[in-house]
Amino acid sequence: MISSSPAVEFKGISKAFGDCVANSDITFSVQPGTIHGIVGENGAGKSTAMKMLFGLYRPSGGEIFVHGKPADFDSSIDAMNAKIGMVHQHFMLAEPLTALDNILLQQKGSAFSLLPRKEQKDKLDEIAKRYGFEIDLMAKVEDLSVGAQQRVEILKILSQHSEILILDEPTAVLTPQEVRDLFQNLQRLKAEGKTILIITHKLKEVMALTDNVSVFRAGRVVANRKTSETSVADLAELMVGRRLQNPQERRTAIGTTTVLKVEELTAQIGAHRVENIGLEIKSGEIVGIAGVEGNGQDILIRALLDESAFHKKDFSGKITINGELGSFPEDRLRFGVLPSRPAYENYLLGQHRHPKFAKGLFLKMKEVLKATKDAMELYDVRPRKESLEFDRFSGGNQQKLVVARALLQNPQVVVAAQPTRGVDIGAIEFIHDQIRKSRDAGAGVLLISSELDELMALSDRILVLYKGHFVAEFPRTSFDEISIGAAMGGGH
Amino acid sequence: METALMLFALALATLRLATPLIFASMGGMMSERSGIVNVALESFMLVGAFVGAVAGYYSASAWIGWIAALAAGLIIGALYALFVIELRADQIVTGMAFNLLVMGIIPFITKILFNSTGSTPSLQVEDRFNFEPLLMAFILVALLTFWLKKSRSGLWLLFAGEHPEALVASGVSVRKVRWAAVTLSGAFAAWGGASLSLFLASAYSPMMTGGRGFMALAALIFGKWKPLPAFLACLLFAFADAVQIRLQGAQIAGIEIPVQFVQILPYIVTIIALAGFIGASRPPKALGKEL
Repeated sequence: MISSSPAVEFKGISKAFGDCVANSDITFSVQPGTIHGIVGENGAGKSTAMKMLFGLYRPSGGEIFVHGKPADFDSSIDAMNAKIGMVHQHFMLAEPLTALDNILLQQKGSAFSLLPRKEQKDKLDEIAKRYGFEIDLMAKVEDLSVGAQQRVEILKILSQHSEILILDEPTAVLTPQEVRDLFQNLQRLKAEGKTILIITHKLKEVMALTDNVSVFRAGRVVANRKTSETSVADLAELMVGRRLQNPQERRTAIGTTTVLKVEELTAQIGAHRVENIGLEIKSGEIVGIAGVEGNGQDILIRALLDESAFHKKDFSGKITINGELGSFPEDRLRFGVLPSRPAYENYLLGQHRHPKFAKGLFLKMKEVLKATKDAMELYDVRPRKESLEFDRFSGGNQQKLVVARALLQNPQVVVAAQPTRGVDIGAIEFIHDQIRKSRDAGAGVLLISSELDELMALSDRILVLYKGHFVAEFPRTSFDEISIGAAMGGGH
Repeated sequence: METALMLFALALATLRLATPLIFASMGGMMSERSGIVNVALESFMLVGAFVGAVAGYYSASAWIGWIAALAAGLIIGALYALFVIELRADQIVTGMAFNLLVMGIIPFITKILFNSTGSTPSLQVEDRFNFEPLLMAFILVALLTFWLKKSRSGLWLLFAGEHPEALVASGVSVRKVRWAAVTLSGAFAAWGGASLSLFLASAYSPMMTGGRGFMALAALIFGKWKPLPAFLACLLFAFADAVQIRLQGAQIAGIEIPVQFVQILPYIVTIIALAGFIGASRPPKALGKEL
């Protein structure tokens, strides 16, 4: 190992887009046959660096070496010829076509030659078998699960005999089970001698999977570490650039008035349902709902926010809400905002009839702009441009704006669904603080999250939703990852 | 015996009337499957019909007209490609502009050539096509079906319209694929026009396409952008057209149906087909999107 040259080596690489410096003086190396984590917050320059390795961008300075040879790639084709493959965050797959055709596209051949489907299918099946992948090559991509689509992407790379694999945020779209499968597959690839670079901002995954890790911050590599010699807390500090506070235990007491009461709720839309569930939240209490996605969380949220979303026959039970309700949806871009409209319009959504912002048929634009500006100030939303289109903000800043919209109205009941999905560590800490503040001000909070860590950090008690039922309840004193995880899987 | 004869005549008329639609919708398929919206089919057809008729008349040969229409189609297709692919003009606006432009230019040229306002002189009846374009339309559908399903460049076309980034990543130029597709689109649609002026009729008359370019587009959408179903949709619309011609002058309870009412039949069928079934039809994902 010592004598062989690194599989990948960045030496003083920099990259600028116009005046904007995305990478400067990036230096790190990856030994062959290892898994290397590239971590950092959104916009820290991880993707830019990997795109240079994959030939999509050209470095403005410095040099990249692949197996000791300078890598001077004009395009991703050059990178692929150098046996480098990349799985992009958004898959490069045509959905109406079969997995096989998607892989065949990569292969060279003259325009009017016939596609060697049969022969290639056998070959690909063999490669898949060798690495223990389960893939139905004849299935259309749109009929495959996200995890299976990802396997198609990886198989595509393997079929090109790539030795170096780059994965961009591969777990962002996967369920916990699929993440486990992916990690197993990656370990197997490593055992076969492949070199893997994985971009992520989930530090637990870095600890579980990688051999070494490079931490990016503001376009630079701030640390190269052996994974075994570091910790989640260390990495988090390196990523954010300051020490994250340990969340304090609450000092306020849970109130006595009930702010949200759900009684014998049975509701369903399509295959998703909840059955005969009951729930009570006091003022100043955070109740967490744990569960693998698709076990009824979406139905519970919908029932609380909008009973009219259900057919009459599909809804029974009673929901009592005492006071104003503020909420942020699990998928902000789909349910919570108008992505192509400016920030202030999105901030106004839901409050557009409030006398503060409306007078008769007209909006008080000055007030709206001022309120948006104040909210951006308070929540440190960057850039501070009220008129910028919502989708031009980064994920963390989008979410801050959505959270600000809900919490700044001082609601008595808060429905917080996936409050930190796709959000940086720094922003996560901030949003968690705001939810705690809201609680301390007396709001009852229903917290729905797929991140167990988040639930355990915030909740006073956790209810586990499984196939539409509450199957277990854990008070804060008996939080424990393993038993909650088991209840989420149906065993309790 | 009489009904059998009538049905036979109706079937024959359907096939004849379907010919221009089939060519045009195959042209539309090439363009739209590559990701380029094509509402300019109407103008491609008009150009094909006109150039075919003119060349056919001067040479007294339908085949020469047919070849001339091909050349004209390739040129106007390439011109459309130039605007929408290279110059990134809005595809729908450009398409409509082509339609309007061609409608204006043709009468201008007929005035110069024949001192008429839009029509060209007729070919001799024995010089025009008897069945050849119909046969070629069938062969074209079969070839395209096979090509799309089996060949590498067929797969490129599908990716150009579904996921151009993936095509780029595999080292194939989306631009070139789209150029080829749109240019061929012009050729096929022009043949659709030429089969109007050299097969169904024997001269060019003003606006002789009568919206068939749009009807072909409707057939394409109704046929889910696939060659065989689009071909069947063309037969359906052509059948409505054949019935319409048959019904002209027919009487209900002794009163003659006004011919204008009868003539709207194919258009009504088109609207019903689109309004009723368009929901189930999904366009190529990158259709109309710039790279």
